[in-house]
Amino acid sequence: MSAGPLQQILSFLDRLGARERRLLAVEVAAQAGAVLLGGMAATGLALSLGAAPVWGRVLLCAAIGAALGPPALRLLRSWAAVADRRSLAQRIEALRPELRSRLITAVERGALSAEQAAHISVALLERATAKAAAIALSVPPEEAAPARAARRAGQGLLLSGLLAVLVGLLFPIGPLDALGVLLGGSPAAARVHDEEIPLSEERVLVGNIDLRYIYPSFTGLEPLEVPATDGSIHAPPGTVVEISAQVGDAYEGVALQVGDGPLMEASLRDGRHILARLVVEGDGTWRFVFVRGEQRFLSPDYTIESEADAAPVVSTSRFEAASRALDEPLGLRWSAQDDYGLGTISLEITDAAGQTRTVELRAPVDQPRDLRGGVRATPRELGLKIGDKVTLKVVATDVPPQGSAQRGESKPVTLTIAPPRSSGKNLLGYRTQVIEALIPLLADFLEEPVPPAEDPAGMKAWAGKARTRLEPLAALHKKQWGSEPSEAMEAKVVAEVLDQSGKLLRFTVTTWDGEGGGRQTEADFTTFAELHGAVVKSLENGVYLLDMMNQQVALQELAEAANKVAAEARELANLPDNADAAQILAQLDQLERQMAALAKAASKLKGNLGEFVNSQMNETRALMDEVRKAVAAGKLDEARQLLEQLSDQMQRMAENINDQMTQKGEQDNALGEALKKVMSDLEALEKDQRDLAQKLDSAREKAGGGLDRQLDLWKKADVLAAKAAERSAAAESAVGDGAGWRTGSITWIGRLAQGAAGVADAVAARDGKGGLERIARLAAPMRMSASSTAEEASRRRPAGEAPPADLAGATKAVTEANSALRELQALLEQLAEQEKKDPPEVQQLARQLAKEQAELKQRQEGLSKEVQRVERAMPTGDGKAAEAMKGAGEAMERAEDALQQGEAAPGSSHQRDAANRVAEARDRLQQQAEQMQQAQQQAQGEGEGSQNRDKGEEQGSPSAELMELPDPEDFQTPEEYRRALLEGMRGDVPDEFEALKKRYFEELVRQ
Amino acid sequence: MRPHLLRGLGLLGLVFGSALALASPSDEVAECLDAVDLACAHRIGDVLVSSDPRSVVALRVSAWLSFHEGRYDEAVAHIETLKTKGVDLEKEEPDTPYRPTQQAAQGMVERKRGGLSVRHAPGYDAILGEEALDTLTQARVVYARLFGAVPPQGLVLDIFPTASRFTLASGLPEESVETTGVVALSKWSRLLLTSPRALSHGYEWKDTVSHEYIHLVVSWRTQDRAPVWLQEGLAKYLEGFWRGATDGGLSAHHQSLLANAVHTGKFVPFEKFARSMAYLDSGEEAALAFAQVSTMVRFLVETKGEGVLPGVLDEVRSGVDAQQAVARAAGFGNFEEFRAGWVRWLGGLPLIQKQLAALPVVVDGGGDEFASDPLLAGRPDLARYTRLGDLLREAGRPRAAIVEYEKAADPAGPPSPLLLARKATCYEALGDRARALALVDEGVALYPEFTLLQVTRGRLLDAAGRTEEAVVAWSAAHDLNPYDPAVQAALVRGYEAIGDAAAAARHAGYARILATGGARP
Repeated sequence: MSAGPLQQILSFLDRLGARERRLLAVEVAAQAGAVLLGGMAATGLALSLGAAPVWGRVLLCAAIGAALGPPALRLLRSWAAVADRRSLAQRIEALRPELRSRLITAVERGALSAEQAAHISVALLERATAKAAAIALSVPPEEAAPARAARRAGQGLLLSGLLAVLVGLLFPIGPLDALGVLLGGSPAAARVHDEEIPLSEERVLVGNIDLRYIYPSFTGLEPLEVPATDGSIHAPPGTVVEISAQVGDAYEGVALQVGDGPLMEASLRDGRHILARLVVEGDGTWRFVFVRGEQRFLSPDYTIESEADAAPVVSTSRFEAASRALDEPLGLRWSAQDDYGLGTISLEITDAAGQTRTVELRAPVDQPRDLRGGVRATPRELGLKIGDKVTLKVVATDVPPQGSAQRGESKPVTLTIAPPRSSGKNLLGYRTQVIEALIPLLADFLEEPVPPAEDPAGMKAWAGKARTRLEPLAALHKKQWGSEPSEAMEAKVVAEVLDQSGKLLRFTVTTWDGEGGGRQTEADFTTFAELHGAVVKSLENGVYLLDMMNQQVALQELAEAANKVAAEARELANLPDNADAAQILAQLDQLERQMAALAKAASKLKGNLGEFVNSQMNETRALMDEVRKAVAAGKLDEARQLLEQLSDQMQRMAENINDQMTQKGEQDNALGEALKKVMSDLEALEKDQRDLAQKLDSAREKAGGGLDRQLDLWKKADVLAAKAAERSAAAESAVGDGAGWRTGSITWIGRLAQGAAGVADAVAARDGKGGLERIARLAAPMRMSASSTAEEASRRRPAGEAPPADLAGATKAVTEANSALRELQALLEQLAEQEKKDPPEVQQLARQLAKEQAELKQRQEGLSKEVQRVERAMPTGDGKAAEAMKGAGEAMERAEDALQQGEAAPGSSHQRDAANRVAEARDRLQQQAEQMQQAQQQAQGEGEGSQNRDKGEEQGSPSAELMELPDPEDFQTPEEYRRALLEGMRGDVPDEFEALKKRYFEELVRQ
Repeated sequence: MRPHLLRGLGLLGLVFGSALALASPSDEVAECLDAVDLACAHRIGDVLVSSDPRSVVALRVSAWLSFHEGRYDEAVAHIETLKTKGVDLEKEEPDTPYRPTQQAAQGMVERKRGGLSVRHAPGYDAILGEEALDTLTQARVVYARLFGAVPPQGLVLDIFPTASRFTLASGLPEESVETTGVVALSKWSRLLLTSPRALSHGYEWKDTVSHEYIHLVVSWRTQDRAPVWLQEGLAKYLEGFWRGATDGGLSAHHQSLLANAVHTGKFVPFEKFARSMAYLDSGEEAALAFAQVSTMVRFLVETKGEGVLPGVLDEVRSGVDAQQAVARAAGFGNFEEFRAGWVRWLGGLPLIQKQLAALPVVVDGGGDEFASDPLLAGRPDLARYTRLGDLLREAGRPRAAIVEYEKAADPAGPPSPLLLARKATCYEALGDRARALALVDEGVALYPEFTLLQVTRGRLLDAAGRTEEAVVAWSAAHDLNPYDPAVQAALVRGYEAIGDAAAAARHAGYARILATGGARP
């Protein structure tokens, strides 16, 4: 059904009303915009012309008010009116007079109620309505609701916009800048873009450049803040970099410029603090542009490095030593960084042949960008051997977003592997093992009769038994040190024992074999007893020295523990009078722990101090039990009273221990002083003895005795004798354990070595006659050793028997020793010829010098006692210095006798011999002192290490700084890892490392 | 009013009288104190103090009396008050350790009986308290009989727990204990003793208490006029009398020195120590001098009987020269004759001829384990073999250990008690108990004061079932060093076995002290 005329009229009017509203809205908006743009342009113009920002703000605010206020008011007022049907009908009636109010009537009829409508003639009304509809609907909407006003408003807006654009183009501060000023910005900030403002050549100093990288999502990296940079930007493309910086002088505006690109917005707070951001697109530079007054300024240029994916950066700690002992932790610290995250860290070991192998150090489960660690493994654990020279590099690989992994490596470190030295706790344990191995050996050697048998079979059986007895010690030594020599005291003493026992066994096997020398003589048994005695002595020295070192370590531990107990005693004394049971018990528990350390140290300590401490500790412990009992019984007053007593006891004990330590230190110092003095006295004695000999020689020279020639000959004799002794000893060493040698060959080489040493002694004593006699006695060993080494090379051997390992070396050494001895023989004969009787005046001088020699002898006697006293006081003293002094005394006696007889040549020889022996005594003492010092220092180092070990860390080795921290990948699950960390956190560390430990664990747990 | 008047007159008289006789009343008090006459000191001092307790003289006297009577806190308080009056007593008397004594005695506990007061450190030293009181009680009786009388006043014995505290309280130089072996003193009317615990293996501390008490009595009896030689002679000879030992207390070392002197005629000239022992050249010379004076007193007593002593002391007190008094009492015309008679008498004594040495004094845990052995202490080379022997012995190799111990012996030096004890232990381990016992018997005869020998002997005798003899050995060990729980346990067992319940209970008490750290005396 089609709508009636009335409906058509109403619908038409409604459409017309809607159009009116639209036009109104457009008009109002355009007016507002025009006013606003005009205001902004005016503000920009005003600011550009130098108006104060505040006036600019006022102007702009007024414009905004004008733009928004009246239009809004009009809108509110007119909105309903423009859509009113009656008004619209009236407007159409005005446009079409022929309607003659029919349209108004129809519209009003539509608004009547049913009751009102009942009094109106329907037929008439409908006819009028139809007529009105026909006329009104023919009126076009543009005519009924014209858009003129809206158009005008639009033109005004256009005009204002034009004005704004013109102001923006023509003036430094455009309408938008003006808006920025209103929002708090500086008008100058806008001026920074004004290229007409001249640029200063002066560069602005920018500081505190903090960069915040917001990486592109493909990197998977978290934002990274890098404070206090030099302004350089390193980031992959697409990274947004937020820059925060500061300048010293205040500026009015700032902008950011990348390369020569357009200036970008940057904000300036308080004239000094800059905030800006840029997006990394490639390599280049960036800078700030500042404006102040009528000048613009540039900051320095900062680089932008676009990092597509850099290789990891690896560095290692400074490696102090170029060598490491086989059993010494490497102690190489490393750190690795990568932009996208690290994959694996490994150690590359390249040997001298260029072969490289890799030991994985870390393979983190996540991809950390930064990793640090250390190589604690020993060369032995890394599969290296003594003498290896290797190059080490720490290598890291990264985990790139795409493509293959990149590799970064540290600078190479060259390392030579030294013999093992062992250290700290291991060495302490090893020493105890050595002592435990040496004691039964010593007991066996001491308990058996010497000789252990009378017949060859018995002696051979004994040798077998003795060899078996030595095996555990040799095995222990080999396990610890391999076949390389070591400077450690433990290694030295065992090596000495093995060396001495090797000599004994070789002698026994060769002497009682029946092959080498036929029937055994009394001298053989004497030699056996001497060699046996030497073994015992080496065992005794070894046990005593190692035990002394253990004692010294224990003493240091005791002192440390005593100090802690003293501190605990002070704590006890400071316990408040009203301390409750829990406080008392806590204090006791603390004390108990310290006492345990003290007891441990005291248990290792022999002697009065150990007993004293034990007695004091028993008393203290008993008293502690009583305190606990009193606390348990609720008798707190009694407990407090007993605590006072306890505190007093402990302080007393600590005082005494400290006193004793001080006393011991003083004793050591006194020994040191005595040693120093005796060394100095020996030096003076030696010098005086040599001077006296020189006096005699000078007289002989003056008298024309051909002394120079003789002295030259003696010097040559010295060289030859030393060579013969050294070469024959080398031959003996080359025989080794005798494997593959005939016993006869070993015997002859042994006799050669022994005889050559005797010859050297005679030459050193300037005993030409004795030297010749000894060489004569060596004729058979010289001949037989040469022939037997030759035979060893050519003789047929039983199946399975290999020729001696170093036969060539032994042969060469024998040949050289024999040659030196023959040459020496000729030389000594020549000397004997030359030593003619001295002229009478020389004889006379010799007699005169006898008195001075007697005085020297007297000095030697006094000094001899002092040498003996000092040597005895040294734990490393072996009596050799005293022996040398005895020899010196005897030589002085011989010299005195010779001088009294007027025999200058032998007198001088004996004098020089005496001086040599005094020098020997000094050397012996020096060696003993050095050995003692080494033992003490080693023990001292261990004592300190032991104290530190108790605190849970190791010091003194390159690995000391490395804490034992677990790597996450070593654990199956994160829970397991966290548990391990928590366990680790419970451990004690030295106070100074406490904070470090806490931080480290916190950091790890956060990972 | 009358009493006050009388007191005032009395005081006036005293002051005037004193002024005539002495420089001041306080000097008179000082003289009384020097003569260990506390009653005399009080008689004068109390009057001074009661008349004006705040006066300098009264404070000075009070400080002296407090110090002599062992009230150190009071003494120091008086010194402080004196300071406020411009008198610095410590500066005036730098040799009197007022404040150090107070420090050294800090924390000590006191035990009293019949005017006797023994103070010791709490803890293990509680064992000493009762025995010290017993010793002094007995000593008072015995020496009152021997000397005619003993001081009627109370007596304080301070037992200092460490040698350092003893030296602090004695005013002696720090090193004096180890260099001179002084472990006790009779001074300031008191006895000062180092606890046997401070010495490495204890010492004969009860005889030492008695020795010092004799000094105190002789000073009192002679008004401090007895010369050092007579003091030491009497004290040395009579120190064991309190326990009934009347053999003169000559140690084996002293006997060997005397024997050598008799043999060679090389005695220490009497003139060298007639005034002071400080002029002697060495420890050995001092030991011989002590042996000489001790045997001189013994010669006197054995010649004329114990009753001769009070007379000698009376004569010395009256101002007669001590040498003359002794010679006359012994029936000789002069001291030279007495001396000649003594030398003849010495020749007849059965003295130990072996060359011995005194045990070194090692205190407060000092020195190594061989420091208390007369041979090994000075011979590190021999001590080394001993240490090796010890390591072998501890490793269960006694036979080898004996070899090392044999190496440690020096035929030219004195026998080593430690080596004797160690070897005995080795032989015991090897099952040769007879040889072991023979060794310790030899050792005990030479060094009865070497505790380890007594302990080893006790153990060997116990093992042999010779309980009574073992108890004697254990008891000797206890007298030297009562802090060994094993010794106390052995004594409890031993006394129970021989039916001496009281003694067993006493040692059980000591064992309890050791077990409770002295908390349950």
